[in-house]
Amino acid sequence: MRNTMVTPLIELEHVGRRYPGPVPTEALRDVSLSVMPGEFVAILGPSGAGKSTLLNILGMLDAPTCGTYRFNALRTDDMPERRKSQIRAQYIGFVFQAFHLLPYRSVEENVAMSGLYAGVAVQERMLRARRALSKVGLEHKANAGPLDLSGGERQRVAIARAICNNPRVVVCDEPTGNLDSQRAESIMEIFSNLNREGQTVVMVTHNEAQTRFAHRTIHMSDGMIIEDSAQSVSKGTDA
Amino acid sequence: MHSEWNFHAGHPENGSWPDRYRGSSIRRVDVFREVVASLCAQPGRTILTLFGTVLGVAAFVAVTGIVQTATGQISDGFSQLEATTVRVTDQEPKLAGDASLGFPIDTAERLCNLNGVSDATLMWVVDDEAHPLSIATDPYTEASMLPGYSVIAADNHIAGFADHGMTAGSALDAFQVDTGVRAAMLGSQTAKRLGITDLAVPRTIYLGGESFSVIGIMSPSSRIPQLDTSVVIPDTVALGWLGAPTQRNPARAVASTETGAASLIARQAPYALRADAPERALADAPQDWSKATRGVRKSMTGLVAGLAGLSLLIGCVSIAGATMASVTERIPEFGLRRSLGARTTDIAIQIITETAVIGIIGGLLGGNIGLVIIVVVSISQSWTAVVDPLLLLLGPVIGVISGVAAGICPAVRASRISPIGALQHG
Ligand SMILES: Nc1ncnc2c1ncn2[C@@H]1O[C@H](COP(=O)(O)OP(=O)(O)OP(=O)(O)O)[C@@H](O)[C@H]1O
Ligand SMILES: [Mg+2]
Repeated sequence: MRNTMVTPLIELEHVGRRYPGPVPTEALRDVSLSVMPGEFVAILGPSGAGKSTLLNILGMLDAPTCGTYRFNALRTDDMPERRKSQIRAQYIGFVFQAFHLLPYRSVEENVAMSGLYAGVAVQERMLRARRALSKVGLEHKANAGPLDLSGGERQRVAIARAICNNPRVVVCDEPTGNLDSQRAESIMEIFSNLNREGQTVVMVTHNEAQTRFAHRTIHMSDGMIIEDSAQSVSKGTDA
Repeated sequence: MHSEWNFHAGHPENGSWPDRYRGSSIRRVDVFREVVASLCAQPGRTILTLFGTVLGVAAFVAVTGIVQTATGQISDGFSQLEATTVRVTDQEPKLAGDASLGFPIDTAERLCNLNGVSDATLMWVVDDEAHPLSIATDPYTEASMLPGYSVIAADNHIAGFADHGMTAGSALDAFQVDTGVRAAMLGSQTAKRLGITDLAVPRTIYLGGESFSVIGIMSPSSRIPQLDTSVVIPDTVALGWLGAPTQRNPARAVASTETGAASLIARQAPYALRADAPERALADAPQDWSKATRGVRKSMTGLVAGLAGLSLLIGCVSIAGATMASVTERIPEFGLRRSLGARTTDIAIQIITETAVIGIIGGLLGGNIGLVIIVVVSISQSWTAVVDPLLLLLGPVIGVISGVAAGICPAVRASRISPIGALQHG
């Protein structure tokens, strides 16, 4: 259901990212990519290919050293840091390989931290946290501590936190990297369901088999996109 | 692709969509909520962070309060006693060819005639280190020097300067003094030292081998503390036996006055005693209390300021150290917060609020502990605790200042944490 009238949510044009240093690294070179609202994009590639670097730029935690990045048609290169933080708070959800739950807060409080920096009132955040937890099937663990949960459950809490504030895009860096294949599979199903409901997802993965949940697979190597299924194979429709 | 989950219906228009929370950032109440949650998350660490501030402020409040209380006690004693005492000293005893007393023998009467004098006495110390007199209860004892004890010559008024009169026997009377009876009164310490507790049986002491009958034991004297460690003999006896007062121990007159009369008496006394040479009689004008304590109060202020600074420093260093460690430990948390949209300033504000709250709590706790110490010390010394209410306010103030100051370094450090690096590992 790709509509040419719809503005791309994410639009990279000839983006490069160079890490300076004694031996400068070109982590990204000449990457051009656009992601439409509602897409589920899987990014694959060997270690050091620049996948995390790309994701950090998409999430505005990092900035390109050359090229332009438009988020929802807004140029980000001259955007003040304050505005980027605001966009992260309101429109971007992150899921990390290492979960990053605060151990001394309840599951519910962890999820409710999303929206904190967007100025959402606490009652509203708690309400949304409950809803997000039910999306990942963990409403019964709302008052548990993250340390009492299994790895799979912890990642589901992190997903709930990422979607809690209803972001435009969820950015995931190897969300199943710390999980066994069975748990990974159930996590992928959650993302698949969220995507079916309209959630845009961009995910880095090491697992080729997981790409079947995505609409679109991007292969990276040496800081470049070497294959993009949206361009090489034109899919007429999706499910 | 629209769903009920997707509650923002607004779609991009002209390259942007309406901000749901334009200009929004974390609410102030949520800053406090986060700070309280962080402090409660690891109570052990929070208590450890509090420790220095509590200790510093408690020490500051306790020491300052105890000094204030003690000064209060001294000022009470000072104002009652010192302000009503006049001491006159002979400035030129034993001029060439002058073997006389220096002050008239009826000094006490002359001073008592002045308006405002309650009582007065003439006295001098008859022995000194150069010419010590042995004091003994036994004429055959050779080693009977009592260092620190002295023999005083005085008129019959001196017993009036003992706080509670005689504890045993009777005082020297005018007849005994005038006729030169070899009688002695013992100061309270002297009596204890000589083992003479009561005079049911007549007792004799030997001063430089000369026998004196002990007629009375005096209670302690706060106006002439020296009396406690002395043996008092009639001045007439001393003059006939050892001669006039010496350069080292000149004749002295002590007068107790009515409140407020002391400085006037101090001006009149030299003329009453030596109208011919008033400059010979130097009167100690009692000092004005406020003048006398100005120096003390000034050094008190310095002490309090110094202590406050020290406890500020202790609190600051301990909070800063513990928070620095805590920031290092919480690097992933700050990375996460950045990913959730926290600005660097939000992180810095959170840290400084944390340390400020710790400072206030530490200040309050320390202030109360200090107060308890003041009360306990005062009770054990049977003092009335004097605590400036401002002092208790100063505890939390010191706490919050040291907290904010301590927070600056960790706050800068935490806000500089790169979210990318912080989130990579966990
Ligand atoms: N902070 C940094 N400073 C210098 N070089 C960096 C930095 N971060 C990444 N790099 C380099 O950039 C390149 C791309 O790194 P990146 O983390 O994006 O790879 P990746 O595809 O995510 O790898 P992996 O699958 O191992 O996570 C690597 O060569 C890496 O060494
Ligand atoms: Mg990576």
